[in-house]
Amino acid sequence: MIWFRKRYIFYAGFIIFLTWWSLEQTEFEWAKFQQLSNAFTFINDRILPPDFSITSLLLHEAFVTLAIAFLGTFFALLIALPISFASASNTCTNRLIYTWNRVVLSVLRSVPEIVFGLIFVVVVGLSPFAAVMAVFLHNIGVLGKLISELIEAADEGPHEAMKSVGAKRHIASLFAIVPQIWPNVLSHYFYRFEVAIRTSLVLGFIGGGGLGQQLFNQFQSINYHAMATSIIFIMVLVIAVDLLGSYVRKRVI
Amino acid sequence: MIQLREVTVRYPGSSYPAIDQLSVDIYKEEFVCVLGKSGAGKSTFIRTLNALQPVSEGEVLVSDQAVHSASEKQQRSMRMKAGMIFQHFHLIPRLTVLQNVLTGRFGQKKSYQALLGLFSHEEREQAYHILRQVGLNDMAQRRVDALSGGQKQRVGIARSLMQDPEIFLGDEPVASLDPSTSETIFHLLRKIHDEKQLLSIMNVHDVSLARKYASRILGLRDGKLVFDGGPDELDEAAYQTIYGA
Repeated sequence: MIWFRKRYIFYAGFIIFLTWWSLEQTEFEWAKFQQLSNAFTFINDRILPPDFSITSLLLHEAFVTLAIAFLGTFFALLIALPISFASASNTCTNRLIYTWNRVVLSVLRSVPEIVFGLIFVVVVGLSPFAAVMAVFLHNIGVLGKLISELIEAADEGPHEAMKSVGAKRHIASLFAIVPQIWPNVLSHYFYRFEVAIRTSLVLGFIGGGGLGQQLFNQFQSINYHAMATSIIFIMVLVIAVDLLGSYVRKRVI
Repeated sequence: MIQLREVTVRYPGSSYPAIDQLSVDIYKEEFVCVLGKSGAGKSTFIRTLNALQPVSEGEVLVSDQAVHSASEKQQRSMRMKAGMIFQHFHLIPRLTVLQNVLTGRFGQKKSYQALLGLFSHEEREQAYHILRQVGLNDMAQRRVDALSGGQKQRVGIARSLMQDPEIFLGDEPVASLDPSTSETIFHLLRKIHDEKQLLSIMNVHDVSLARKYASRILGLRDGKLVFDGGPDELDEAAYQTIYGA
């Protein structure tokens, strides 16, 4: 029993308590699992088969969703890259600027896209543009934090070499760090892109356009067969972006 | 000529200085090898020479110019004249051999030129010439990640030669290479040193390499200079002062 320590008993007790407490909070009932078979009946009788007559409309909406996710995350990447250099302890020597940037990034990250979405739907009206803004702002926070951590973890060696050839400070940072972190930046970017596709669906529920809005309208009007087609489109879109991401990563590494 | 005037370097949080009141003059055309145990201050010593490491007290003069009290701009122009190679090569990953060699010119480039990679025809020709000099004729377009240790250090040397240096610094340049590659690299360093009549300072672990290639040997111990002489003066007693218990 040399792997076990007494405090593990305490940890185990705590986790068991947390689980029990969460079950209480969420009104968890084992008996309800019996009703799960109803889900299959519902899917089988009401949702299937998909209604493919709306394919051309959904195709257009799928491109809107794709555009929201791409534009929101790509603009966020463009802004996050320079900000992350100013939010990494090894490239930003001014503690005040560093702390300020970190706080701004945390604030952006702590506001969920749906909240930004609700604000922008009011400010700029019901449109995909509101969704783009929501994805954009939240992802500046996320990508800024992730990239600044990559910068902090970068090997100091090439940076020292660039200083020793007499390169200007920002050129030294750029050339020593960007090639090191680039594959991981792309990796994070494509993951956020993929997440943004799913987020923009939820943003569609509040009037952000795209597949999400179609899905929500179909659900509200009890048009379940059309909903099935939308779900297929969503799955294809997410898988396609995921495949594209892994292809690009393979090419870059 | 490099002059150290009672240079002391203290790292924050450490009670002993890494370099302790060190004074020494090093002249053009000298090929100096610095010996000492791990932690004796070799690396700190060599980094003070191009202000990669700030000093706590004292001053380093390169060609009668104070290094550490100079402005950032002046320090950059001093670094341009001092090529430096490293134990772990410190190449820019994912770039090609040629691109890495050309970064040696970054000190003389305007920001936008460096950013866009605007190098003149002459600079490219010089880079190819240097690659031939260090024996990497056909490697220009290879990515540096794909090279062997010895080849990487040759790229490191080529990058520092691209600076047209007057001073040649090496922080354990062969410590991560096998003995026979170490020998070839030191042979190359000495050859370049002689051809270009540089002032070279190399940290080494391998005493036999220092004996064979150095024109002068410095021994450091606990940040103090405990030996200063020619390779033939490095006898058993001197060896004990540097490495002994």
